[in-house]
Parts: sequence; structure tokens; C-alpha cells
Amino acid sequence: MLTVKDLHVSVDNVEILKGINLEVKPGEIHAIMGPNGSGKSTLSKVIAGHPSYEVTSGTVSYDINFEQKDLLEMEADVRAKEGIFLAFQYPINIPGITNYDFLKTSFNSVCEHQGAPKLEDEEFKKFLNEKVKLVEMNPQFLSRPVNEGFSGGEKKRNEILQMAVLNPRLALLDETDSGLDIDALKIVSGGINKLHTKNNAVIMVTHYQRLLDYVIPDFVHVLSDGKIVKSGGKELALRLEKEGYDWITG
Amino acid sequence: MSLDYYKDTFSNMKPSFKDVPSYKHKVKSFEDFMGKGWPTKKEEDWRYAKLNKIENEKYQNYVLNIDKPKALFDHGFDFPVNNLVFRNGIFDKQLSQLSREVINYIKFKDHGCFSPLPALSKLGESSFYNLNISFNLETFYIDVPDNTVIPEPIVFNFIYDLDSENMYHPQLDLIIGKNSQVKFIEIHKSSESATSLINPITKLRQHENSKVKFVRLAELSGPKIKHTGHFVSQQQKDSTLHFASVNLGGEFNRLDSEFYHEGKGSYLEVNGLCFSKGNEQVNYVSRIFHEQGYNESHQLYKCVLDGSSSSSFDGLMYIAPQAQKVNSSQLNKNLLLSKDADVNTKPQMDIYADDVKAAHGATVSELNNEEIFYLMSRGIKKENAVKIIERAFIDEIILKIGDLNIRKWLRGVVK
Repeated sequence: MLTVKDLHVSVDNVEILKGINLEVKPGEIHAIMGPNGSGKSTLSKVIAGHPSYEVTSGTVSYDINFEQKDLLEMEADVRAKEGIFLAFQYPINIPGITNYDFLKTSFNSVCEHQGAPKLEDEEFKKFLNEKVKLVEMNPQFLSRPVNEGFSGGEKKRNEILQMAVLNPRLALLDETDSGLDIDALKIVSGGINKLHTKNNAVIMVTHYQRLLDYVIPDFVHVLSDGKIVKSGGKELALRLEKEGYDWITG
Repeated sequence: MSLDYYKDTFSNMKPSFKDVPSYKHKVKSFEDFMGKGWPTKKEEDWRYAKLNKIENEKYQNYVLNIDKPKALFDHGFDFPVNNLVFRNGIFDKQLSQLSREVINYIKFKDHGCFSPLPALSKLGESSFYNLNISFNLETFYIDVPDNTVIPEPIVFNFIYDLDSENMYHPQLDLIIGKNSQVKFIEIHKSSESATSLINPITKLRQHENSKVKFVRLAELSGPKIKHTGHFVSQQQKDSTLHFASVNLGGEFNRLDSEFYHEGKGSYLEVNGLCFSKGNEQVNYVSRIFHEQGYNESHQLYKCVLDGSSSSSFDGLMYIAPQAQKVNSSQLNKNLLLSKDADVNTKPQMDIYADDVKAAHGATVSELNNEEIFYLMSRGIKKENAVKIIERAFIDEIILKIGDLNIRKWLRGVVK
């Protein structure tokens, strides 16, 4: 589904990613862990198409209709329409648009791109109600401006609601567990598990093992100084939790 | 030098109004205009204005019946209104529609029989104000009696559709009786081909405990059209005024406004919104005078600028020594969509009372790339993402329009 080869990325001429290799197949869950400043968030933003990052070398290819396409050639909105979703570490407030209108605009943009019919209000409301239940969100949040006045936990839950609405093939979850209390973590991770199928994949960026207790990864990668320095199964995360990163990063 | 041209035009007009009560006022205003000439950057109020060689323009004072009627512009009111249409500055009874009740309140006065300006007013020094008084042909006058509620908005629909080089000096004089409630919409709209100077004055006088909602829209299409509007309000005790001004398009689009709290306990809200693109220019001069205490005013002006356009905000709140317990704020916020756009902002306070609450400020910001990326990462195209962010910026003003019908209509206009 996603193949990253020798990816080098810079911001303002400072190299952040120094040769990343990663292969993600449908149905897989990957966790990316690593110390602060190792490049975890950069990797997820580059895959989602953030314009501030300059790819200096390497390739990122992505399966669209059984063909490998160059992801780096696509604008961020096209990537989203082709099924890539980034749940933000710090979701942005958009004061002048309600959550409902935002979700509907977003959903219908994707539908239009995929050649599917757009949903009118009545149908969309029905569809949305199901998703709202999935993340156990108070429906009143739909009529409020996007993320405006939401608590940290509500913002993260709103990200998973957006993910549920857009039904991505590849979800990048950037520290979705940060700022969540235990109950919210259970709800959010429950949502992720319900949305995960054999046809889609998840890449989770996280600092802590606790999210991985609820969303079990198939692979754990340790990113350090812009490179993946170790990969393994879920047991790797347990060891990191106990021993920290020093035994890997030296 | 075009001043000679206006001198001849005024001399030719003079015999037609020599018997009207405002004769002396008009002659004096014209002398003031001639003495001062067109505004220059040396005048503080005009420091940021680029009038593009107005001294070379020879505008004709428009008189009815020189052009065939054209299709009326559609303003898209899908709610009942009293629609008063003014074609090229002159009231057009045939195109207007209004209730019998409102007809009773309307009077005309020839040749600018305007009541004097408040003592603190600076408009008497303005060349454009004096030009209006000199060349005005009729004042449209509405006197709403005490204890009257007019539920449907009264719309002054000024349409300018002549191709030739004209100047228009309409005047509205609106008096609202005690305890009365009225909504007004004043629209100035030009066609693409118009090459004109639109120079209107509106004066609103509110008696005790009256309530007015006023929306003023200057929507100019022609790239060679100048609008220099004036608005003056005088509020008596316990009256309320919600005023909103929207300036869209035009080579030069300006509103000089003055708001006077003449009685205690009055409330005023002033909201301004402008969009400019290309080489367009928008100027807002907004002055609020608290002459009595225990009243409140809040002004918020927002402007979105694209291309090489420019805007200026010159705001003032004046609080007289006797005006204690006043609560007043002014804020100007600007959003730049282009590196070549230019903003000048000058919020000012002039306070002589010691027990008041007053605040002022200004911001200038650019589009936030993180916001754009967030929207794009949800499948929204960049241009639509920018539109959503712009809408978010202006919605703060739109949401302040209390009447839901007018709010919906205005949202459609600024789309």
C-alpha cells in the first residue's frame, strides 16, 4: 500500500529525515516510537503532504487502483481524497465553520473525487449520527465551530470522528493519545479498532506504550535522529517502556 | 484645472435654487469647496487616500431623463421590504414598492435642506461633504412618528448605471421618533461601465428610547468608480443603534462616519467589513463622540485585502469631560491575502473623563498555512480552504447582524 524508500526531508535547510525506509501493507498496524525531535511527526506530515517540508531525495509510492503512484507529486487534498488521513497532534481551530459543515464539505469533496454521489443533508445526518456514536461524542459538538473551545481530549476525539467519516485507507495518527485521560483513551482507541479492517492500514506515532495496550501493533519502529534504527513486533514497545531508548540509540 | 469647471457648473445651477431656504448654505459650502479644493495627503484624514488625479476629472451633475432605463439590479431580497429605488441619484417612484404606512412618513426637500451638523463635527471641513451640499438636487426625508414600529426594513436602493462621467450627491435625512423601531438598508450599487463619483450623505437622528438597525452596502463594480459616503447619527437618551457598513470593490471606496451620543444611556454598535482586490482602495473614517455619560459604544472593522489593494482605518473615540461611566471599544482587524496588499490603521482615543472604560487595538495578519493544510488534509482544495478561512474571518461581523433575514441576504452578497 505504502512504500517509503530512502526518504530525506529538510525544513529550512536542516535535514530532519535522513533516509527512511518503510513498507506498509493493507491490514497492518505500525507504531512509530522514538525520542523527542527524532522526526516522527515530520514523517507523518510529509506523507500527508504538508507544504513546509522539502523532500530532498527518496520516494514515497502509494497504491491507487492497484497501481503504484508517486505520492509526493500529489497535493495534500488529493492525498486525502485518495484515502490518506492525518489525525493531528495539535488539531487546528477554525472559528467560522461549524463542525457539521466542515465534515459535510470534506466528505462530499472526497465523494466527488471518487465519482460517488454527494450526500444531501438528510442522508448525511443519518450517516454522521452513526459515526458520532462510534466515538461517543456529544452531538452538540457538531453545531460548534471546528475545535473552537474544545478541550484537548475533545479535539482528539473529533479527529477520530473525521477519520470515521472519511474512512481512509491509510490513517496516520500523530500522538493521538497525548492529552487523553484513561476513559477518553479507551473510547478513542476503541474507535480506531472499530475502523480498522483488513483493507486499511494505520501508522501510529506515539511516545507511550499505553496506546499500544489498546491498539495492538503488528510492527513497532524506533525512529532516532531521522532514521529507523530498529524494527520489531509489539514486544519491542514493551521493552522501550521498561528500558527507554538508550539501549538502541546509544 | 477642473475647479473652474465646477465653478461654471455651479454658476449655471444657481438660478434654479435661488429661492430655496438652503441657498446661503449651498453657496457657503461651494465657497468652502473652492477655497480648499480636492483633499490632499497633507490633510490628516486623507493621508492614506490615493485619489488618482481626481483634479483632472470633470464630473457632470446628473439631471434626470438623459438616459434610457436599464434592467434593475437584483439585490435578492427574499423577505418583505419597503424598496425605495433611486436611479442615478434620483428617486424612481415607478420602480419603488412601499407600504402605505411608510409613504405617509416620506417628504422631499429640494436642494439640500439639511439640518446643521453637530458642533464637534469635522465633516463641514470635508471637500466631498461640501460638494454634496452644493450640488445636491433633493433630500429624501423620512420622519417616523413616536411609538411606531416598522417591521419590514426600509431599503434605499441607489443604482448607478450610466456610462458617462457623472457625479451623484444624494441625501437621506432620517428622523426616528421616541420609542420607535426601524430597520434601514442603504445600498449603493454601480454597473461595470460606470465612471462616476458617488458622494452621498445620510443623517440619522434618533429620539429617546428609539431602536435602529442600519446596514449600509457600497458594492461597486466599475474599475473607475469612486464612492465617498458620509454617515452621521445623533442618538438621544436610551436609544440603540446597530450600524454595519460593507464596502466592496471600486477604484476608491470610502465612508466617513460620525456617531454622536447626545443623551445618557444610549447604546451603539458599529461594524465595518471590506474586501478589496486588484488596485482597489478602501478607507474607513469612524468617529464616535460620547458627549454624555452612561452610554456604550463598540466598533469593529474588518478588512480582507488581495492583490495590490489597500485599506485604511482611521478610528476615534472621543469622551467629553462630563461623559462619566462610558464603556467604549474600537478594534480594527485586517487579513492580507497577498504580499502586495497594504494596510494603514490608526485607532485613537481622546478621553477627558476619568471614570470610563475604553479600549482600542488593531491587528494585521496573513493567511495561516497550518489552517490551510488542516483543511486540505481533509480533502478540501486549497482555493476552497482559503475561502473557508476568509469566511471565518468575516463571519464575526456577519453574525453581529441581529435580523436573520438581513444576515442571510448579506452573507449572500459577500460570498
